Amino acid sequence: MKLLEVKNLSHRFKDGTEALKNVTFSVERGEFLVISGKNGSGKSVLMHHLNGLLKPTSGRVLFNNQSIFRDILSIRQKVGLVFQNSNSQIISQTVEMDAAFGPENLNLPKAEVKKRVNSALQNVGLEDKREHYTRSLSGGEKKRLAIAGVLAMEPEIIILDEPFTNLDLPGVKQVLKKIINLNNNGHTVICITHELEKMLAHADRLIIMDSGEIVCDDIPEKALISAPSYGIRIPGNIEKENTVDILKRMTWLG
Amino acid sequence: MAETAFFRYQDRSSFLKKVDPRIKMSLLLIYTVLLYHISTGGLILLSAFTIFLFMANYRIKSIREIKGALILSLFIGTAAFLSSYNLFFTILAVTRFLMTILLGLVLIGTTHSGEIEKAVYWFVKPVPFISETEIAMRVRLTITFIPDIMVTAAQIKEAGLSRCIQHVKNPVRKITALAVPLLYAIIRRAEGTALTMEARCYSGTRDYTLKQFTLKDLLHLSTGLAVAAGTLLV
Repeated sequence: MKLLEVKNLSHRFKDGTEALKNVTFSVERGEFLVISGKNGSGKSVLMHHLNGLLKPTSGRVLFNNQSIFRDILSIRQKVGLVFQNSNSQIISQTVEMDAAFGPENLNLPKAEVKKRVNSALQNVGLEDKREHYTRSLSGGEKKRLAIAGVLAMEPEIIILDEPFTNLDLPGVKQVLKKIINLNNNGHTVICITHELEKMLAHADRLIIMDSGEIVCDDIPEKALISAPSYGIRIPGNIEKENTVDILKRMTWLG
Repeated sequence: MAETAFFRYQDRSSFLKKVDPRIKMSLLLIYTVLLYHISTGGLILLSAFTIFLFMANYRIKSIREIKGALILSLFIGTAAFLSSYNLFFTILAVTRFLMTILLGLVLIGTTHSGEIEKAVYWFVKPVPFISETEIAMRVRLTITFIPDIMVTAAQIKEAGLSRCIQHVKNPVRKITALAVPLLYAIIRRAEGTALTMEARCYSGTRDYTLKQFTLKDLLHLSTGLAVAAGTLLV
């Protein structure tokens, strides 16, 4: 069942730059989709469109067969964005207050906000740090807090923009485990990253973007073949090795 | 690496964290006004009380954290001395300034920015023709981001030092080397934050209800007012 559909989406900035050109794809409920591409390929602009933060020059984004702009606040609750820079996303001084920011914006009753915050912090393993000062958290903890802030809004889709930026090995492992858990628990996950070697083994599908266009949309084993030609590094030689074997190595877990 | 900076919320338990933010803000206002209007004896008493509150509630990790405040006190002290040629007057001026800073730190160190946001909303709501939600959110964001701005400024300064900015003789060039990238970073940060707030459904309509005042709150207020009265009587 299609949960999110992007139809002929184009975006042109005021200076004439075409960031997205006729982008079309859909996301199934429960799917783990990875969108990759080199810098400037339009990945992040696309992410902003999926939550209605940008308005397209042409084309549409549909959620459950309805335009996202019909009820944008409800869509922003259902399509949760985790931004690349966790520091921008964290706007409170304590972990608990930050996780509560989204539910408070939805004007939920206090008891419901508390329940959601508890559940989200427990989900990301930060329940013991609820009173901690947010700026004293490590990079991995900040990223998990950003995820908790989105989970507290109980979204149906979670979109993560470059989730492993600035994280060390333990940080990447923490965040990756969390992403996989979320998907296993039924969340639809879209991960926007150029660091495929860290997590592609767990994905259901890979979309490759180049110059604002989708140039490849397939299962990871097949999509990997074209990845190097679009400037995406993979940990192996596709001419000498089977892509299935390469794909098995594309995780930082284990 | 964990970021630390001056003017930050303290993540440890303290009695003042349980006091209603409206009471803390009211007492802060009263004490700040008193600092500049009471006798020397009252000032000594209020300073001792402020230092006690500060020591009990705010932990400085290194003296470098308060370097800015100390330098500013030095400027104030110099200006006070040059205008009066009176050492006693100078000490009073510097003390008043430092105590104002310490009172502010006690409030910031023991109150969530979210609680301050709600308290500001409560104070501003009766004032006509201004948006209480906007002011409350602006205060919250300012309090939250001051430590970040200081961290960013320190990083830009270090980047400048690593490229020998200390050898530049033109003071204007030195200032612009810090101020321009800092301003740019602040604007970028503000844009990023606005975007993430929008993505998390911020639309200006939030639940601003604070709990009803209780007998305990009145007791806190009375105690605070008693200290204020004591400083007036000395």
